[in-house]
Amino acid sequence: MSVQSTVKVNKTLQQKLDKANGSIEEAIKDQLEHIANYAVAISPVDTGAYVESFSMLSVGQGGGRKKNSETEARRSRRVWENTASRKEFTGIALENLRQDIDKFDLERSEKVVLRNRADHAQDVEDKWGYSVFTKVRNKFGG
Amino acid sequence: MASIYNDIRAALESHLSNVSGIPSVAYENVTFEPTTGTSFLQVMFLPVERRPAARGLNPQQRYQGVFSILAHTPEGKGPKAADDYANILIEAFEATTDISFTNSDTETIKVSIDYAERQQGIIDSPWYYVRVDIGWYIYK
Repeated sequence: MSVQSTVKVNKTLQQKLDKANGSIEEAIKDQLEHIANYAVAISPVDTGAYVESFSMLSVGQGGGRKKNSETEARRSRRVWENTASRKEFTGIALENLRQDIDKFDLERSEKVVLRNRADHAQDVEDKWGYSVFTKVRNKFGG
Repeated sequence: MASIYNDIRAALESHLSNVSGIPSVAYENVTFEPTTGTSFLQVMFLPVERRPAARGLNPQQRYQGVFSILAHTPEGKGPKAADDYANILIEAFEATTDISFTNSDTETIKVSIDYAERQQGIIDSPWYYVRVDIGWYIYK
């Protein structure tokens, strides 16, 4: 004769689980936003093309934002020439990243990738020494 | 003390200067004219965090950051030379290595290596370079 016990997941317990899942999801999204804020805060800003080229994507997801710093519109408005403000460009960058984070389906995503597809992203990292991704990796791992 | 950063940098740079089998080193904010066709290393000291390691008044601080070394080799000669330098550097700064340094006040600090990892090779004409990132930390 077998022995078994059955537990009925009642509505209250399910509600508690849903609430716990919601809290975990919120905590993960807070951490992603923390990473986004840090990456933008330590980035150099001139035409805004670099910071506006940040994306947060699921692993394996291609693409991402790519802004060109060499366009006439970009060249005419530069932070380093005081014809634009850093806050203006970083505000756009943060809003972009917040939208990415909001779109995440965390139940399906195993890893999140921070990507920058600006043409000069590698120069920003190594040649100009800002090392944005190196610092993000050091601070947050990954 | 804020001068801890000077000591950390000195510890890492003097450890590097004692590594054999590496080319000339271009230090930060020191004039260095690379010769085309001749390999060189370029270093960057990147402090990332300074956080209290404990609660209470005057807590010990944990400092952490990255010591990045770009191994530049001549473009068009294949990746081997840069790969070899990267291997030497990773070995010299292997994770769990402790680097001691005594400053001019005869105070000795110990910088610990958290990780050493390399990135992919990049062409930046007339160079091909490989970046090696050395994660460090110290409690002080």
